[in-house]
Amino acid sequence: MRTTPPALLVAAALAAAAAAGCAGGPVVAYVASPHDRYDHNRTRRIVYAPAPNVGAGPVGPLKVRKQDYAPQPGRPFNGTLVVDADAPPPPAPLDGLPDARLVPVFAGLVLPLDPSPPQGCAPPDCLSDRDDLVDYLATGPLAQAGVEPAAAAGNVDEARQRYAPVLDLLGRRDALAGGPERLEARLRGLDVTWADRVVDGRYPAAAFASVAAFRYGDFWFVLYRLAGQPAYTRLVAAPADGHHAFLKKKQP
Amino acid sequence: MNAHDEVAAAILRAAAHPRAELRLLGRLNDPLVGNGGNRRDVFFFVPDLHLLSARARARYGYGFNHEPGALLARVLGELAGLAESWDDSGRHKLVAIQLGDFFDLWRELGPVNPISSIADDAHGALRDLLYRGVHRGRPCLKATMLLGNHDTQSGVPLPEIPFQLKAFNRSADERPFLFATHGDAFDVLENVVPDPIQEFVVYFLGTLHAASKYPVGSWGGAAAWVNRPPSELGQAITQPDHALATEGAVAAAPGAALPDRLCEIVEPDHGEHRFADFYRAIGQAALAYPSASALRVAVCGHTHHAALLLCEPPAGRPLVLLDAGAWIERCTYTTDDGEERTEPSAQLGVIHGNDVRLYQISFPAP
Repeated sequence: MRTTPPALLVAAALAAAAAAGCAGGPVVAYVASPHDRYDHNRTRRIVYAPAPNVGAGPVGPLKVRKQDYAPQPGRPFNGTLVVDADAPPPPAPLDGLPDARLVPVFAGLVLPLDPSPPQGCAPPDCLSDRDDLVDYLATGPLAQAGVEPAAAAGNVDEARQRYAPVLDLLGRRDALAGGPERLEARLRGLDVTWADRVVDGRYPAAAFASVAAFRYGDFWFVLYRLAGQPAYTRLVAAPADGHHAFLKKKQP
Repeated sequence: MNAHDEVAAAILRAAAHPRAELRLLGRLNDPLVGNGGNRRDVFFFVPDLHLLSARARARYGYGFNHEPGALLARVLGELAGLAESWDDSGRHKLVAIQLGDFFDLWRELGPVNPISSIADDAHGALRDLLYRGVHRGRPCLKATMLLGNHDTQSGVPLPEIPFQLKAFNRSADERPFLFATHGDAFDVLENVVPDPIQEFVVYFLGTLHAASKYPVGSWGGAAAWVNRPPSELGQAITQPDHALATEGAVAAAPGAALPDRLCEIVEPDHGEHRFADFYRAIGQAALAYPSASALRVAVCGHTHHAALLLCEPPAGRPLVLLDAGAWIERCTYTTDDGEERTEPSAQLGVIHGNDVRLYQISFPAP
């Protein structure tokens, strides 16, 4: 998607596709599930501070893990959801599952990409936003490593080289300024596919002044610009085409 | 107990049979492994499983060993407990890697049945323990799952499995000593490119920046040339018995005295297990790419023929190849007291520090 508002983009893309006789329809970038998409530095610690009347959860810095997104209770996000603290507690559910689970929804990696590790924490325990993104890209589009790094690494050096042009752009404030046309111009010459539409269940598309998504290598790179901001300030990376295109011909 | 002893104890606990043994099929305890500085990570390799339903198993007369007693599930369960205790204490981190061919989707589905016909509870315990339990509040190793040539149908793997094509150990200086892959790459590359070694170097070990002519998306395109059609799968079991090279397989109980070297010494051009191809490819990559310069150990599956190979040419770079075997078919090896044993393959690989081990779980027949 290259311009906003999104509806106009879709209409334009559909018109262009129709004019070109394209039967494939618009190119859609899906901002995938939390396990698939990359929307935060997985090595950074976050602070969880439950309200006093919610119960004794751990307070202080912690890392989000895969099991924190599971439906079953588990640390650290296992507090009881209390909508009205003065109301009587709801009856215990017969199936033992909690009525709700609160898990983090990350707004995306901050742009421009920070090349420095978090203060007070050094590699390999903590990585810079840029290096953690590279680590995610290196594990490949099927690894479901968006929440937690895989125990074994992919070819990090390969990913760093392969995605260098994009990483360079994402690390420069000046390169992220302006609208999608300028972004497109800066990536001209690369084997990039632009999305006509972005499907992102986290936010209504109208919440952003601009959402631009391009495919490079095995991933979508989705950039978000808020109204009043001169540049794109958030990034989400997500597998392109998931399982289907990755190894589509690996068959008997 | 050291980490290896703890793993061995966990496996024997899981076997839970007075006559069950953990036999050492291979060991290399030597600084040339190149992992002496890392005492934290314990690498645990689960080889080819080829999981099938009872129906498919009956049809092909082929399938996963020790399924009735859930031996592997018990082993993985014990190890999941050990991994959790290590996490809590901070002493070690268990890095579990399943080397591919987890399901045998070719035989299970053929060309007709949809992948959705794999029931949620089909081999559910193994799926939970390796990768899925983390989402279900169950013990889980959070294993790195490598994609094997039997793991897809029409190019589509079971979507729940978090596949990677290759894996390296995490190292602070980004110079890993360990490289793991399923092992079918050369089979495929030989059919599609004029120089499969160079292609492997670029694609699996290199940085791709100058030679990204072979994108990931098209990698498996030639598997059709390698894999047999479904109509021939019944005859595709070409080697139900594997005569392993191991002689002197000692029982690896915790604390037992073990030989530092129980491995097959090979030359760089050794033809088995694709050793020569791995050796050439890793050697070329080490010269071309700093990130490959410290690679000393390659781990694979695919052949179902367990082996620990060591090449240390006087003027060349050493390489250890751990072929972690399988949990299908049978193997024959000789114990340290001269007994020749033939039994269902049930092999596992473990690396801690500079100590590489290959095990066979010797489990008495019911």
